[in-house]
Amino acid sequence: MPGRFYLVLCMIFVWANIFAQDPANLRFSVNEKNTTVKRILEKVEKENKIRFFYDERTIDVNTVKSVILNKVSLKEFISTLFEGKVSFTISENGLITLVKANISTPSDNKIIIGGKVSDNNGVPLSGVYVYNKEEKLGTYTDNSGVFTLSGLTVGSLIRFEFIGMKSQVVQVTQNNPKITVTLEEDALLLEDIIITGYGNFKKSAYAGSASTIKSEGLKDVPSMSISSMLQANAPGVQVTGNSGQPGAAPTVRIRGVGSFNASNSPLYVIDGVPVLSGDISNTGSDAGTDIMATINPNDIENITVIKDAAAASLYGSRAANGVILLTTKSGKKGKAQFNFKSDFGVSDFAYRFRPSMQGEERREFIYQAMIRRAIYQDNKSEADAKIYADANINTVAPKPWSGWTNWEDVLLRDGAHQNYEFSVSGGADKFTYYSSLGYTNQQGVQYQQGLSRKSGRLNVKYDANNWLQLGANVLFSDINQNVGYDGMEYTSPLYSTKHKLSPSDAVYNPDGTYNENLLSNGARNPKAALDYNYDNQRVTRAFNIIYAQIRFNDELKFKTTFSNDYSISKASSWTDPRTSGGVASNGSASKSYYDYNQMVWSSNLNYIKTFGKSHHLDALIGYEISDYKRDYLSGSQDNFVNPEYNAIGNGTVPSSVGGYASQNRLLSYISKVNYDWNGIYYLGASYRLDGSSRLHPDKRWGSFWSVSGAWRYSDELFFKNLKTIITDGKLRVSYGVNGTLPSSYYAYMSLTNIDASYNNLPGIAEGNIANNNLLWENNYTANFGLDLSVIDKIDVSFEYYNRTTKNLLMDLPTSLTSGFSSYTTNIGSVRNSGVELTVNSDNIHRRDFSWTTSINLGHNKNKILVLDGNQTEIISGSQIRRVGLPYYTYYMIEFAGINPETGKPQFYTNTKDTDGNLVKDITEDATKANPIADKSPFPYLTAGLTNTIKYKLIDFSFTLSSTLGGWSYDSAAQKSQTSGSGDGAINQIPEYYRNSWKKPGDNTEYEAWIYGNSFKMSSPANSRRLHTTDHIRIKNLTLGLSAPASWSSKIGIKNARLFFSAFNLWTLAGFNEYDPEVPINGSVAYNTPPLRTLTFGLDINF
Amino acid sequence: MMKNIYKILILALAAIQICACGNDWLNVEPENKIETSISIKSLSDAQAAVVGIYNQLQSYEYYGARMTYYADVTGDDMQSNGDTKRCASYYRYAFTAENAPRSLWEQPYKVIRLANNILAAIDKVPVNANQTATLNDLKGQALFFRALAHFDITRVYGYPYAKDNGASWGASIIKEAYGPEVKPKRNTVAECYNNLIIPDLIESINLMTGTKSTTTGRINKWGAKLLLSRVYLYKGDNANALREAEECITGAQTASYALWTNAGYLTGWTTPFSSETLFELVNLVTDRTGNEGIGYLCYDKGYDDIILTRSFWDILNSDVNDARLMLTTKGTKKPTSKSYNVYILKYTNDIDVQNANVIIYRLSEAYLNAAEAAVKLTNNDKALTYLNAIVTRANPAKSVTGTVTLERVLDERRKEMFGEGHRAFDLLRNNKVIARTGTSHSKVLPDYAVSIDWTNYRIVLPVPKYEVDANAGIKAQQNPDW
Repeated sequence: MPGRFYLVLCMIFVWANIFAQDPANLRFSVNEKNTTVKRILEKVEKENKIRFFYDERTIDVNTVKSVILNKVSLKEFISTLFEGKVSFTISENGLITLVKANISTPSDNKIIIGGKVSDNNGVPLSGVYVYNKEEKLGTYTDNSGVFTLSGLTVGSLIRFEFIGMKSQVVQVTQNNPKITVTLEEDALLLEDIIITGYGNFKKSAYAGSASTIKSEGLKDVPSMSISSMLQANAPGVQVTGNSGQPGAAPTVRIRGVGSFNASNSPLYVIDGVPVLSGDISNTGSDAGTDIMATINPNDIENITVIKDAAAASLYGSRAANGVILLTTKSGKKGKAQFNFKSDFGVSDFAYRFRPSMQGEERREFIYQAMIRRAIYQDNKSEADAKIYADANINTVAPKPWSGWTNWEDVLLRDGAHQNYEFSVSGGADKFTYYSSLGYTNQQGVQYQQGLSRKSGRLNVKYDANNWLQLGANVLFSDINQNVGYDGMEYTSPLYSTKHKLSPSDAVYNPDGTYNENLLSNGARNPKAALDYNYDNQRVTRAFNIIYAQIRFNDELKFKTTFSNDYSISKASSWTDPRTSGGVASNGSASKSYYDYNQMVWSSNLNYIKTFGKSHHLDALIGYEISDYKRDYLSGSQDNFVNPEYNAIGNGTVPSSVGGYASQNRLLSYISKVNYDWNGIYYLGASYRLDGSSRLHPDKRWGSFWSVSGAWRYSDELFFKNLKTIITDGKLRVSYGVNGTLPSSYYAYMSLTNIDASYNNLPGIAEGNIANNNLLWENNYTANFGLDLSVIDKIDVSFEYYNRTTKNLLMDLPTSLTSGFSSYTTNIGSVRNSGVELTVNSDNIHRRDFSWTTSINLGHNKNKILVLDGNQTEIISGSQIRRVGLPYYTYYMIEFAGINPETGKPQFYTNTKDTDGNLVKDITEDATKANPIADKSPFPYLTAGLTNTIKYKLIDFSFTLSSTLGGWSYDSAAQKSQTSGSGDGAINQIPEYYRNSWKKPGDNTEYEAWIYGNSFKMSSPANSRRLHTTDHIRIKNLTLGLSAPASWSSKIGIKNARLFFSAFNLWTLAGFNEYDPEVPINGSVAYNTPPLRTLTFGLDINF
Repeated sequence: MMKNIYKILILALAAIQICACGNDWLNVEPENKIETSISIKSLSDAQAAVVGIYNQLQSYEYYGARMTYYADVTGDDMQSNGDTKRCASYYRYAFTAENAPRSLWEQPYKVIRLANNILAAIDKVPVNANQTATLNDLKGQALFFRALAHFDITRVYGYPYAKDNGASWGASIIKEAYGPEVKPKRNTVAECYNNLIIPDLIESINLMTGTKSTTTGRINKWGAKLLLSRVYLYKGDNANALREAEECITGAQTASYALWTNAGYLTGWTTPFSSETLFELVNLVTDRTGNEGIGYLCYDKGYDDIILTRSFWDILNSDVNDARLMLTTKGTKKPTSKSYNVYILKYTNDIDVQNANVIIYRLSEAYLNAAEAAVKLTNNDKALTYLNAIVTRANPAKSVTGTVTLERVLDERRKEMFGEGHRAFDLLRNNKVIARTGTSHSKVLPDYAVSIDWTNYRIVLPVPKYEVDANAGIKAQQNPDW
């Protein structure tokens, strides 16, 4: 790490020394006779590629003069030209501003100035950078906001710069003045700009659809993942996950699911560079490892989600599912700002998760189930039934020697986390920096689960001279994830505590050894597995960006950005011979490495010009190459001398070694043009040509484009009367195409694998049928938006979109007689359409009391338009893909309640009559019931509501999230709803069976639970397993208390704040067996559910 | 002027970026795959392509486990150890047309594809005179596996030949590697036997060598003869079955194969490539089926999926001196209320059950095939000879005299071949009932699965839904009542 860091710094300084140029260092030669001063200036501008800026009202440029000068300095040139009446300043971008010199004071007469800087609440600001560019003099304000600066001349311009505040310039008019400056907050500075890799857009001038999330409101939320910040904060963005394990990879969908077999994930772009995203786990865990967990969320300045085609088309073949732009923090000129933040807290399940009967209750339940068995199934008398139950209860539900076992206490715990962050930022005349270090450690709710992260960042920017700017953004991060078994693994803590183990199973034998004679789980004791086995995932990432920007003149700039994103993902696992899984191999250790390397090099030329007063043009052409490589190596060894020494090298029998590398490349030509007239009419267009290595040479070039327009109707004359109420209003329209590439890198080729082997001989086997005609999948997105601001208080934004995916990449099933099950082709079409509404309201805005509210609502409708052209439906387990229905639609037999007389489940036959209507006859024979397509996991409405209140030193904010209209599928029911048959009585029994049928006449939703039952609800997939996911949840809540400035300034601290923060604090849901935030496909089994996290923290700025 | 040079330099850098990366830069090829069209060009390519077939056979969805246990757990010798085990649905005949697995349909066609790739290319492979025999042997192996795969599909998805004289649907005869657009229909069981399985086997026997190798784990002439005798037996062509079985026995003996002796029975099983194994599928630690393999499924500390039925254990255990008892063991688990489990030891290995080879063909079966064919041909002398070779070997104190019945041969076959993928086929092709009696069976075994014979539609698997959905022609040829 240090090596890499110094390398980057060295490069910057070497470049700086080579290129350093400044108008102040230029030499000017002039030879003009009887020419106006203006002409002379223009000529010098042209020859030296510099610009002068002056006000003709104060500086006389129409005088006719003769000037002959040879290689003089700028100062001499100006002095000669204006006979000492004019001085100048040189701004950051090289602009030379001419100022009338105060003749009464000679220009070399040095003066002292002093003053005080405060914010608009009158609070003194310390660390404000006060400087004069021309004289290269500067200082910072002290803790009371006071500064003094000497060595200036009268007429000098003094700049005041401070992070998050609008800069100010004050001209010094006399010696020893008392300057009082009030800096205004620049809240709009960041959210106003949408930063893309291909130029920045002002949001007010943006014709597409984008949601911006500022990190400010989310900075205290205890979350490892940036993606979770998106939830409930941007309409149209759905964040779900397969697992609540720390570091697990979430699923993010923007405006629905638009692809079948290709990716549905959005493109992530960090500081303008498209990056690796998604799961990079190689442990094989269900939860996965989110590569975004390598990013410290506190380094993120803002997140912008691009949802339509207008800007997304610039990203071409990867932007079909939307783009998430992350911008990291940067320094601002001024004294170093230090921030230290620390928080710690605890976590638990955010919601009830599959409670099951414990101890005596369970024994009594089984006892009654035995009596029911004897009476209803074997037709015994009540007395005989009791005899039968007494005789059997102890073999099924014995009380273990150690007392009833509550496996949750044995295998689960309260999660905990701690977090420390330190950052420094600031800058000087030509240099700004932001640097941070962070450490986070999160323990999951299962023993073994956990994640720690060490991260460091350095963002620097350097103005080498007036035409060259250099910068680098450097990230180093290391995450270490301990992966707990998740899902339906016999030793997975959740699967075993909620299903496979029983309170009658002791954890240990009386002699202290593990109980390997578990009633249902046999030798597989999960406690032994937790104690001895491990599964570890480590990701080390270095993501570095360097860039250079050359300014040819005010209009034309060239920028080239080179980045390399390098991650090593290493998995190590151990299966101990003292656990059931490791007996056969006498211990097995394995290790695997994935080495990911993505290089992106992008260059563009940007032309921005204003013609006349009102025509604004912004055009860009660019070129980009992207080269992605992945290299894999794995090995495992068996048979260990001593399980305590389980490093892979200690094994004696190598059981496998494997590895391969794969690669893909992308080459792109980019162009865009935006035009506006007076900020009232906007037009934009973009075009991008992408070539991909994943397609046949004849088909590899795809073109993507967009057009957009906006109209600020509020600035029209006819709107004049309304403008006092509707202070701003805009209509936006955009349409465009972008694409998705096949997931497989080589799907177009007919390939034979050369890695087959048998008896240590090398073998080959055909592995892929060719499809030379494979194309991009195309997304056609139309977006319509209406924005309005009511009396500058309430901003309302409404959007309608229609996104149609055509040429869907599909693994089309083939006849298995071909030896293959499918081949990849472009068939089918799916549509997502919906509306989104955002309302931001500035309810109260006073000096020490403010309250803002923001609401967002999203509705998306997903519909399959065409499948493969022949089939109109494809059944996939308990779901169906049918034309006209959403991509995820459940397909199963319909539950018709429990027969009150027998306690048996009933189903609707749903046979079709001659008119095609469903006949709802009731049957107890599940094989006579026909499955029907009904309900979808996609919610009808997703909503978020955020309130932020600040009162004096207290800040309080909370976010509510809600979804309505979605359905989940309880896939655990196929295991746990035994109805008492088979192994039912020696497994965990869900608590809801308390309400099961007990005797004839009982009206209940739950079937008879009878010991050794002749039927079971676990085998027919039926609609009783579908449950609403309607819920409302307090997603985030933060309460902060700041120390009064008068106290903190005494100990040199600018700002100190204590806070309490909570994630998933409270939930109200329509179904109470498991968490309502379910995986994207709706199916809930035994994976770690979402967690509730409570945090206390301290945030200090100095 | 200087600064212009720098600007030009940087622009030149960008120009290099653009020029260096053209269309060709996008040609990226995988490092572990080659274009299929050039994959079989030489003798060593052909060798490797044949290895590819064996690699496919190792899959747990084929001979690595599923094909090996299919006829055992659907019969009456072995069973699923619980209702949620991997083989439970086979054992309970619990599939529906919707959820029946596709492995036993899909895997053989994968083998057929690989074999057809070889057969299409092998005649164009340049060889010199010394290499012709090797090339012929490779071609013979490809033909053999094409026949075997068709035979497996035919016996799993088609009714026994004797039931309707081969009129039911069997496999689709596939003789070339089709593109995805081709949707073949099924052929009848008789067509499969007569037009592909038997001719391919005969040709393969003519092409392959018969040398016994102690290391390779490859099929040879005698293994193919054994399969051919079994195929004739399944077809009801007893004369040919007897002839092929006898030729297999005598031919194998000249190649120094021999039945295991009573004393060497256990070592025979546990030693790779011992005297009577005609073909065993090799599992090395570097190249094994893993936990889903048959060894781990039959292991009490493994997945613990498959056990002997109590009724069969009682039969085997009735003669405590029977050598074959050594191939069973009571579980090492502590006794519980639940289990009285007996495990098979045919798929264990001294070090690691995951590495055990799977014996596909061994000479004992040729004796049993011959005995069965002889009984059916009422050649009692031969029946006695071949049957007693097995009976006396198991227990030297025992032998069979008098008239041998089919039942007696089948009983011996069951005791000798249990767990090797025969039992349900043996009963069904002889129109016998599969009767699940005894205390070990599942409480939720449906009535039809307690006693099932060839009149029940469930004795053949339904063509998997996946095929039916993708191939309209076969949809119309689904097995009756599914």
